[in-house]
Amino acid sequence: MRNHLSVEAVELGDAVFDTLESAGGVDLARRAETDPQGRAALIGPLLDEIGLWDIEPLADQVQLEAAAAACRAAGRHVLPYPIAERLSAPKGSEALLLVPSAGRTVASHADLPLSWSAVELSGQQRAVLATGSSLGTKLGSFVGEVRLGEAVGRLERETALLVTLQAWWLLGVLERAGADTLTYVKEREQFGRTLSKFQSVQFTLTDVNVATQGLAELAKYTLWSLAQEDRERVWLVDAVGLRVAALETADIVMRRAHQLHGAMGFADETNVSWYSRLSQPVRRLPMGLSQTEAALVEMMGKDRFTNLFTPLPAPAPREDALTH
Amino acid sequence: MLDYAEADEVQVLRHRLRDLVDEHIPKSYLGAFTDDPNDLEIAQRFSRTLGEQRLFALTWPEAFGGGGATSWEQTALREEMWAAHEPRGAQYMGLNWIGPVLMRHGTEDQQQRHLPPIAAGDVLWCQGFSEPEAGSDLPGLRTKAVREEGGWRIHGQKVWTSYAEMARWCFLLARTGTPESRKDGITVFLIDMEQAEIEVRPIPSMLGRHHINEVYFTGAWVPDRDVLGGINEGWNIVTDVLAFERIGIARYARCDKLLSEAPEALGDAWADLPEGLHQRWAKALVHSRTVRLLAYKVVAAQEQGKLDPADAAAYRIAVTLLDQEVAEVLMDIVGGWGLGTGDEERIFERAVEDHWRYAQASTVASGTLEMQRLALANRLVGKR
Repeated sequence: MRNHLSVEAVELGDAVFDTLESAGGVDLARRAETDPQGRAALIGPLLDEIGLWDIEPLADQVQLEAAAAACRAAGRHVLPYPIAERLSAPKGSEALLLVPSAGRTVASHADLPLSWSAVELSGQQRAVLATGSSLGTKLGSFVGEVRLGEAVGRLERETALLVTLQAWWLLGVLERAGADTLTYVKEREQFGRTLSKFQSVQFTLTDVNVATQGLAELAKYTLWSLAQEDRERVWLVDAVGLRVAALETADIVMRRAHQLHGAMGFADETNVSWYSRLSQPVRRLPMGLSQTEAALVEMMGKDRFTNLFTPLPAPAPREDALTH
Repeated sequence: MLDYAEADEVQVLRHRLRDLVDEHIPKSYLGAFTDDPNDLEIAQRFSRTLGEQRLFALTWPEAFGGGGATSWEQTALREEMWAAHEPRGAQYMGLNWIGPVLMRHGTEDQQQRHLPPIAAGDVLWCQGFSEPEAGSDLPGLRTKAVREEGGWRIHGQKVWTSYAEMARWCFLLARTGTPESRKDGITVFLIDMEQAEIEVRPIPSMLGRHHINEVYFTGAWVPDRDVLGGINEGWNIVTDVLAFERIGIARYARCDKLLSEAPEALGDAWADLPEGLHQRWAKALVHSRTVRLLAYKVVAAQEQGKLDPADAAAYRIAVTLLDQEVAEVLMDIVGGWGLGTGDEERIFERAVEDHWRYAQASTVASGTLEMQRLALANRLVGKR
């Protein structure tokens, strides 16, 4: 058992982090919000220079891990750019949208003019007829309307990839939010001592730490699962399980990050406000926690979520192997 | 590169253990500590069976009767045993930490006398730590050891002592320094429980028979040869014990098993459960996978000699809370059957009832949830 990413993946993650840090870090999001359309030109070239788009995540495990490490590093700067969506692009398009199957048809980053494909969480591919501009709202600056056409087939592995990489991006956001919160409570003094000296604050920090550690380990496992050819039957259910965990963890971490930052956490001069606002699209689209749980139940059936006592399901019999 | 595939030898071991459980343990078995004395006998017999096949002390050195296996085989053993309602009974304690601590701190004489019987599954130990006035604040313990020619006399009281009624030996902490000496005045004694100056009084509890007891020491004798480590140097050993204990029980394994069995156990009634309960069940499976991975993170770090006690505390926080979450989900799933039934055909429902009762103690036993949170918080914010 090895729970460490490859050296190549770690190095790429570091390179992405450093490049974005040099370009302003979370300030990139501040600048992008004033001109959402301009973020393609602001951020895209930075990632081009690293050679990020040469990665083919589904070609082999090393590239898959590299893609995940890049998304996590981008998340640490709450980067408002479709990095997971571009890395998950199926052949013939530049990027992949994760779209709702019901309700308002909006998607993260659909406001950018890319050659898009689209999938629902179930793996169902949908034709993209048109995309709109940014919603221009506090929570939806980097979200656009999508007009969808008919179902056109299934893209389960790409869907699992996108769901997984979005979870890695969110993991990066949450790790950074936890780290910033820790720094804040170690500096902020009330009643003559730092907040970190209060046991209730310490216990709150442990909630954040345990939840984030757990998500990180599950994210790694899910990535590995996606790289195993013999786990085809569970790629998507594993990814959706990870999404459930990521959304739960986001609630735990961001709620506590806000609470411990006090009023300062709502101010845009504080990064936590940006982690909170800009993580909303991934947390709500294509569906929020309860509906993702319902989708997970349907995908799991009674025996499709592997564990110590539920082995990998046998491959479905090939149709041409049926006898009469 | 990531790799979560189980090694061949670990898979072989799992199948071997499952076969042994199928062969030797009745389907209705719910642990050694029930009202049926036969269950205790089953556990003792099974422990000896494992000992004969060198499967008991799997990772111990062969010189001490062990199997010389890897940490991952040891992990699989823990998982399989806990999932099967711990058919080794109380023996896991000797194996998981008393043995390893004796290897690290014991004299050659102590190792030779105590380790082989533990490895053979022949002897039961109990842990004399908590006292009426020293629970989480263990350094405040008052049980006193008084020096006499050739050894020590023990006076005092322990409480919540699991398995004391049947244990032959006790891993006992007693004060050898001044009453104020706290961590600097504690010594570890290996004390023979078969003496008139030790009285065990069982405490009736929701956990079942033999689980918790009071133990009174009225001048019980420990010869010098059974002092572990140096006088007043017991706290270092306690720190080791607590580290072993944090990763001792693979609670997630029984959670995995019971959650996996639920749909089949309920049969047609499964589909009639409300959607919200199906969702809680699904989430509990995700949580159980997550906690298993946290356990593997700790095992991997321990194997490389890089275990951070704070990570072990984080795992323990997660696994004990998982135990209680799963208990609640399962109780909701079985409804009124969770209140207990004498119908031995209802194996799953009886297992759920047992799991719920036992899970109530998971955030208290072997160091409370609050102590684990403090251990983790100390690493995060720096010690006060």
